[in-house]
Amino acid sequence: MTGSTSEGTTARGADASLLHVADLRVGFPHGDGHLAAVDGVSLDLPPGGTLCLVGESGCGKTLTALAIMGLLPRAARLLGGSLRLGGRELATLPERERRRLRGIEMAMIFQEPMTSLNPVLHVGLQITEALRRRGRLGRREARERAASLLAEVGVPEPAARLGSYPHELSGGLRQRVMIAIALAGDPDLLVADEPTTALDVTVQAQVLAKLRELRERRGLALLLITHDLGVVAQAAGRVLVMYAGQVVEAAPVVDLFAAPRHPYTRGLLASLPRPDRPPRALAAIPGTVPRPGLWPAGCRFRDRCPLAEDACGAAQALRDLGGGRALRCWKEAP
Amino acid sequence: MSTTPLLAVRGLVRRYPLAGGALGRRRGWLAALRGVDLDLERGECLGLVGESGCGKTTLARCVLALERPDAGSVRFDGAELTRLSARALRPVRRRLQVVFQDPHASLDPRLRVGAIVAEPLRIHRLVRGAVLRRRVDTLLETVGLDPTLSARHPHALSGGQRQRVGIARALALEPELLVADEPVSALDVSVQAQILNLLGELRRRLGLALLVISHDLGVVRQVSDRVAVMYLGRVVETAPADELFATPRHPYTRALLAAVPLPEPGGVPHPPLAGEPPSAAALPSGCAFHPRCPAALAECRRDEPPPVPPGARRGAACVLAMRQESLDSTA
Ligand SMILES: Nc1ncnc2c1ncn2[C@@H]1O[C@H](COP(=O)(O)OP(=O)(O)OP(=O)(O)O)[C@@H](O)[C@H]1O
Ligand SMILES: Nc1ncnc2c1ncn2[C@@H]1O[C@H](COP(=O)(O)OP(=O)(O)OP(=O)(O)O)[C@@H](O)[C@H]1O
Ligand code: SF4
Ligand SMILES: [Mg+2]
Ligand SMILES: [Mg+2]
Repeated sequence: MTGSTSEGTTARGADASLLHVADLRVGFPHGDGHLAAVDGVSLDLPPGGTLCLVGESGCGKTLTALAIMGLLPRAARLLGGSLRLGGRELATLPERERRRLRGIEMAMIFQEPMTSLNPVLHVGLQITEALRRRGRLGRREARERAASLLAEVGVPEPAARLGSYPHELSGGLRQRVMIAIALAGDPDLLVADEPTTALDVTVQAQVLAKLRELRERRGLALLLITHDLGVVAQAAGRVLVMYAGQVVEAAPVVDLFAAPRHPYTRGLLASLPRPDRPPRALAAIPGTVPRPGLWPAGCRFRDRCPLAEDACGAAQALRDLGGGRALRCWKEAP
Repeated sequence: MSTTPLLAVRGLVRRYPLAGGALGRRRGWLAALRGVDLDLERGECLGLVGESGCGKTTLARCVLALERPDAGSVRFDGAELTRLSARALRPVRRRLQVVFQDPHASLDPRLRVGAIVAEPLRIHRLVRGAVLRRRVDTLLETVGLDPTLSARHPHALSGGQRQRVGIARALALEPELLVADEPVSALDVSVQAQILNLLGELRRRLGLALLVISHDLGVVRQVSDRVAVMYLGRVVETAPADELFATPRHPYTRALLAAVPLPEPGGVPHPPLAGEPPSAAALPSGCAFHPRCPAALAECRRDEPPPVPPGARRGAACVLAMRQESLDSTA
């Protein structure tokens, strides 16, 4: 049922895409079988493009990203689907080959840089290590390139910073160092999982601007994962709204905000308190995000949806609406 | 009607020793609060906003008498909390309750929900037996929880339900002031709205005063009558919420507002500020904001702007903003 329409870019998407994911399923062992926490996610990202994944906690954003990177946690299983980068299938690639690709074709940054930075190595060494994935490099040249990478991501006094340890840096600088390490292999794809969630807003604005700039200058494709619709709105490109392991709405960013179509997307927007508008009674979505295994049959948003009726008990497919939009709700006319 | 505010904070200073010198000797001091003044009226909601490390939680802990300030005063309904003994504080504590950010960490995992909510009533030996059980049920209903959840342990609840339990527990003693430190930041957006609506409703129904701390400006605007903006241990601007968001005066408040990505495409925000707040252990001279301030004058490096006078309806601790104010008042 899923995968018939990926997200309104199917046929053309597969060829023009840098990253093409079709019907991705990721699960965890449960009883005799598996619980699919990511259940039929498809996406396309053209070279140099931006694609946002947005949704609440537990909807499967990080697992989707980790599956793409080949970094799924031990307990997780790739249950199905195809992952193509530059036309090459990743799902069946040997781990050695994938590790090589992780250095030079795709890279990932995380919410908390401390989890992926080595606390006992100074920053310079961690960057030069990443630089060497592209090939041998003399010491002096490695240092120079590392410093210029730090300069590129906006670290002040880059040469002096090479000798710093991660704990000596502020949260914003650490995230910049993470980005520098990710860029060291000159990848085509950057996967950024909540890269600014742990940062203050003023620093968030700096890091988001830096990511935009890098995307434009380097032609980098960006898969940006966030739970913040504000971050999506400023990112442009396309957006996939996820709920309970599935994409429920796909659209160009501008169109999603101009006319959200899925009741969940609308609910999210209506429940946001905004600093630029006077307070109002927030239209909270009732209930809570269900965990995998507790999803209702049929439409997974059914028990929280203000429009739900009997027909919503049937499984919902992601329908192509044209104009680059797709929707997993039968009620909305195309 | 008395004219004393429910809560009056004056000149609050809190310093922490900086360890890390040779043999663990102090390297100096970190100034978490550098002379904070605040008033909170009965039934009012004051929002406290500012970036990480600016001293919001430290201020809350001093207000709750969980921490002793190094200088300054905290008056709650006229009583000077900073000088009360632990014993004398007990009856005041009942009137002053707190809700924390992480409902996971703040609820005892071994207790059932009913026991968690009943705990403050039991400790203060207010009610017992069937009356206590009825009271717990009523409290759970007040925060929108089904009383049958009494028998559950916190881990069997969702994040939003846990936060409601935390609020029910805080309400058990019928406090006059509820301090909420990042009450919704650990929650999903769809659930945040439920808790924010609940806080608003409780205020209207119970006449509760609220001190709400949040780094989220949308949250602060939603719940607050008045807002205080903190930067590096000081209140740099305070104003009625509508005015603060419509016409921010301090350059820092302006930058904060400009930095929020709005859920509206188009205006990709240009980062309004460079750099990050300096460490509270190495404060800049003059106005602590001057190294990042897009409008800084030469004098800003030298002179620390006077604080917003306590009790002022609105004001900003910034020479430029003060000049603007005096222009406005003569116009
Ligand atoms: N190691 C694991 N074992 C069992 N379940 C897991 C594991 N890791 C993740 N899950 C489940 O898979 C689902 C999807 O997780 P994922 O981390 O992708 O969510 P997310 O959308 O990134 O959420 P968040 O916004 O909280 O980061 C969650 O419901 C989670 O409970
Ligand atoms: N017990 C402590 N010992 C030493 N320093 C402390 C202590 N508590 C807080 N600080 C420091 O005091 C300053 C203010 O901290 P506080 O927790 O009040 O900030 P905050 O505004 O609540 O930040 P956040 O938004 O991150 O919660 C920070 O620099 C912090 O590192
Ligand atoms: S299918 Fe039904 S329940 Fe699901 S989102 Fe649409 S209207 Fe709501
Ligand atoms: Mg995640
Ligand atoms: Mg805090």
